[in-house]
Amino acid sequence: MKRLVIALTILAVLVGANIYTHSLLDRTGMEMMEQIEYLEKLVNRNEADHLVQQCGALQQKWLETEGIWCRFMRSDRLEPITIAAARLPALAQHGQTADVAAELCELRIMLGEVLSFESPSFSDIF
Amino acid sequence: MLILSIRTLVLYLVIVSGLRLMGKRQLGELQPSELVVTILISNLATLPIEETSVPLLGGVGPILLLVCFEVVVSWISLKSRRARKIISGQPVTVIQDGKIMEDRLRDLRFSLDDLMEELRQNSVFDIRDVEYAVVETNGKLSVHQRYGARPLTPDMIGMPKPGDDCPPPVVVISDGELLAQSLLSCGLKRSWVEKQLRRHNLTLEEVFLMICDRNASYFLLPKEKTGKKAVKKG
Repeated sequence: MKRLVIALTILAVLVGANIYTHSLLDRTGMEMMEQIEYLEKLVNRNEADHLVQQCGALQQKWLETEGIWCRFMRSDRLEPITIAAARLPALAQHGQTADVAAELCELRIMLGEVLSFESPSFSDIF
Repeated sequence: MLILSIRTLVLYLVIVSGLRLMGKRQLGELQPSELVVTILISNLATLPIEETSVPLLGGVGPILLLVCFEVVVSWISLKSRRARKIISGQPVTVIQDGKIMEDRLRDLRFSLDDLMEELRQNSVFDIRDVEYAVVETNGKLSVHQRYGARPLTPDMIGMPKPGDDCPPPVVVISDGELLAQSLLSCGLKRSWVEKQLRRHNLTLEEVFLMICDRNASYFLLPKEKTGKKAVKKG
């Protein structure tokens, strides 16, 4: 009986941890997406000064998010996003708005892929 | 390298704790579901050790999940006969009243060579001596020999039980350490042990092994450095 209680407790902790990590992933992922969307608007409005500042902020935000995601996700899946996010501030600083737009688009796709891969959908499970 | 070492150590601790949680059955004869869990655990453990890109939780989480699931399934099969039948299967009688059940052997994909091998492992070399043989759920063969071929037991010849028959002796001193639980099972006290040691001019630290039974008969083996001989009493 003691073993069963321990096992059920661990199971409950695991289920709780799964729900927590999933909601954490969802929340942080959404925050990243919102920031990318905001940056895309800045690109469209040609607000260069603000764009440089916000690109740095996005990179910083990604590093924080990556630190969290690394705990429960393969880190090699996150590396391409880190590289793309690292390119943004320099591109914005040198006025290469088109490249910034392209990188943002790439970032959005990569983040979306990671998020959909981690969500328990039928196609991902099987 | 340091990361790998720490990861290996953590996984070792998780697996040992997991196997302890699954209980002693896991370390002995494996049921089909237990075998599956054991194989899966060994595979899951190697992933985070081999690849540092895989988070440690990616190995620990599934291992804990499997272990807990196995404990829950074992509990269910303990409570329900039907569940036990589904999870572990049923024993199959392959020799009944001395007759080999060929169809059952075929169902089990158990060849005659396998059967003979299992019989030999049960110290039965002549198949004619077997009355019943059952393939258990863990794949082992249990054999019931015909009356004439069974080993002689005291009951068969009506031998009376000896008066001093008691449970087997237990270790009460191991490498200079007195094992209180063993002493208790013999119904003896620490003062009795100390008295016996004094009689042989020994201290507790000088004893390598002492075994004792409920009749207070004992065997005392001093450590080599004392230069004293072993003592047997009773």
